[in-house]
Amino acid sequence: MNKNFKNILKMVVYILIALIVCYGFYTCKKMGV
Amino acid sequence: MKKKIDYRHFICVSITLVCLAFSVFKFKYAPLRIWESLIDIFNSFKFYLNELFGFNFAFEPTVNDFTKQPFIMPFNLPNTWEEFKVLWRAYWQLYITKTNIQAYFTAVGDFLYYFARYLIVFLPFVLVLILLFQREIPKNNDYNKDSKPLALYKRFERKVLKPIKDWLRGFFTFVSETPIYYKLWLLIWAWNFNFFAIIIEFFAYYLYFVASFDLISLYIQVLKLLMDLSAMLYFIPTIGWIVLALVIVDRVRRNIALNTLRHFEMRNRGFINSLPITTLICGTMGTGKTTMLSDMLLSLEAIFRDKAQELIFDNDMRFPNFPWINFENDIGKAYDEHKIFNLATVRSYVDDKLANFNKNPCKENLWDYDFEYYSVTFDDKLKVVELFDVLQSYAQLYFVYLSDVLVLTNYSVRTDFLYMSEDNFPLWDTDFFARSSAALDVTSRHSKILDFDALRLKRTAVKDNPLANSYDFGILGITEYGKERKNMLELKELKKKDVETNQRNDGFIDGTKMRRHSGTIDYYPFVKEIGDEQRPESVGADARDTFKIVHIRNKSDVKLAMPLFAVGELLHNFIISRFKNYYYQYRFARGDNTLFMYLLKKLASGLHNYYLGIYNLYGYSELTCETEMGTLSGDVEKHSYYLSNKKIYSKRFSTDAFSDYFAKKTMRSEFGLNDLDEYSSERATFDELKRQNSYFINELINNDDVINKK
Repeated sequence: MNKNFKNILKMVVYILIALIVCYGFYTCKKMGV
Repeated sequence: MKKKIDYRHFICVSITLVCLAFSVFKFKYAPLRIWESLIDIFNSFKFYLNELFGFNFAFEPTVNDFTKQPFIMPFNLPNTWEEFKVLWRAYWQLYITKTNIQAYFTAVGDFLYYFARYLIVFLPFVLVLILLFQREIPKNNDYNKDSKPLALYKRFERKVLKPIKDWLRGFFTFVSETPIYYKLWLLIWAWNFNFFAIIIEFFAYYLYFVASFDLISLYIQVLKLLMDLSAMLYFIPTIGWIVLALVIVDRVRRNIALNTLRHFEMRNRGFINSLPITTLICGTMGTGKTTMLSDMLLSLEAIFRDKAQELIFDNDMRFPNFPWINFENDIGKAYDEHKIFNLATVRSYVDDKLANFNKNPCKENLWDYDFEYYSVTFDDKLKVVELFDVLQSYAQLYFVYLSDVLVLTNYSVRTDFLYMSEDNFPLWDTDFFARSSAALDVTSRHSKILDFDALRLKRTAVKDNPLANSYDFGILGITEYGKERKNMLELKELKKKDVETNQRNDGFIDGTKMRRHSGTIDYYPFVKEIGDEQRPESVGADARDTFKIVHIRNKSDVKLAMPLFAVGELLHNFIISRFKNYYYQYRFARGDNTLFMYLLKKLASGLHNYYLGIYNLYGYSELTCETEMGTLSGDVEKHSYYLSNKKIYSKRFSTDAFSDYFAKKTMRSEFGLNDLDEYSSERATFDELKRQNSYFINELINNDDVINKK
């Protein structure tokens, strides 16, 4: 597989993880924590 | 004369005073917090003694009380475990609500909207940059002439930036060479950030917990820890945390990479250990035969050193009261004085010493061992071994362990195992991956020159060769093995009875078959012979049958053992590919230097070198191998072998190992590639074909009667 394509796929995974983590923090903030 | 004090001391003292000022004015609660933690540990200790020994000390366990200092509770967490449980349940209920998710994505959208607005501020700069790249490059041939802005910038760099950089570098060196300052700063900031209180509180809670097993109170401890850390949490700015996080992530991923490479090295060693004493690596040109051979030789040296140490330890444990240090010093001295230089001389040396002891049995003649009090025999449940036998083995193992280079090759391989000694038991650093390339020339050794006469049992190529009998242990690496030990077809002209030494009468193959007999200590052969060749059939069958053949079937692209490099790699590929295009258009058009290209090149080279550095340190490729017996029976086993860039491409060997010979050969010629004639058209003429001096063409011509008649 092309190295750049592989890296783009990895980036997408990183962004998804970041979105999930941020959602966790966002919910915390909503709770007032 | 009065010694002048380095002015940098004043700077360091000033920094210390500033740090102390922070302690006094900003972190004034730190000492009070320490005092509280001391009270906590004192009370916990009393609680511990009461519970353990049944004392009746009057006390209040204060370790679960919150601090009375005005520290902020981070994240506004609830004060009790019960409240936290309620909140925790509510959190997950909210987490899966559709409205919350929708609100989150709206918030993400808002964030992107505002982020985009900030980006617009930078848009003109991006457009200017694009225009700069798009404009036509003016042409000139002003070779290496600096433009006016560049000349000005270079002056600024020389007069301002360079001195600042040099001063900072000098200052950091000064601080690292005067550890009192940075240790003091670390101490002050550990005090400021309540680290001392945290450590004391940890032990206070430990004493309380082992006596109470009060798990619920753990929550309070987490809160107390967070409150103590709040001094640091709210002092360091967000940008500081981001930098710190990046530094930590970088260190973690580098450590993961190093551990991965070390794991691969261990797998390689497992594979090497599974191979017999003689091995032949085969593969087509460019698959990395000699690379794999060199890699295996280096791993084998590490294996031999580790094995020697392991066996030394086993022998040490058999007679734990023997003064081994005296014995080692004696062997070491004999080694330095060249009284011992191979395993046979080691055995003879120890024999002489023991004979001397037998003649005159006293402690002094047995390296101060109290043989009358301690045992001189050891039962290992297989047999009873004598101390003298163990000493023989120990001396040989120690000799192998001490030997500086264990590899003998017909091409040069660089080794860099670090010998560390405090004049007691020496240690070897056999790590390949955490080595500084800057210290490479200082730490390097090279493999020993292999004299093939030392491997020939019957006749030698050089009469009375003094090195003829020098080999008894070591790792033999022979590249292009089949050129040295040819097959039957190639050797059919040679006869065993020939007066001259040849491949049929020199006893080399007998030597290969018997090699382990000279170098076995404690049942472990410190002997290995590895060769490489393109085809196993190129090696004579008698030799080949003794080998295990390792066929290299495939070599993977270079992979990276370091995780989380995808973003860096994408960025590098995006920038460098564009820069490269532009750079060569620019070089095509212009011969002078401009400020724009100077800065651009500086950035690009920094990025490119960082990228290459990461791949050089943590890159590896995987070889897919198949092993089979030298009889070529066809039963193959699949294996993977890992080649780490840092280990094997760090000036280890020259891929053109025999280039010096070819250089000498071509030096005799008066012509080079550029002097040769071209074909006059797409179809070679008869005359051109004849000029090839090809056997095939000559044969065609010679067999063609019509042409010959002409």
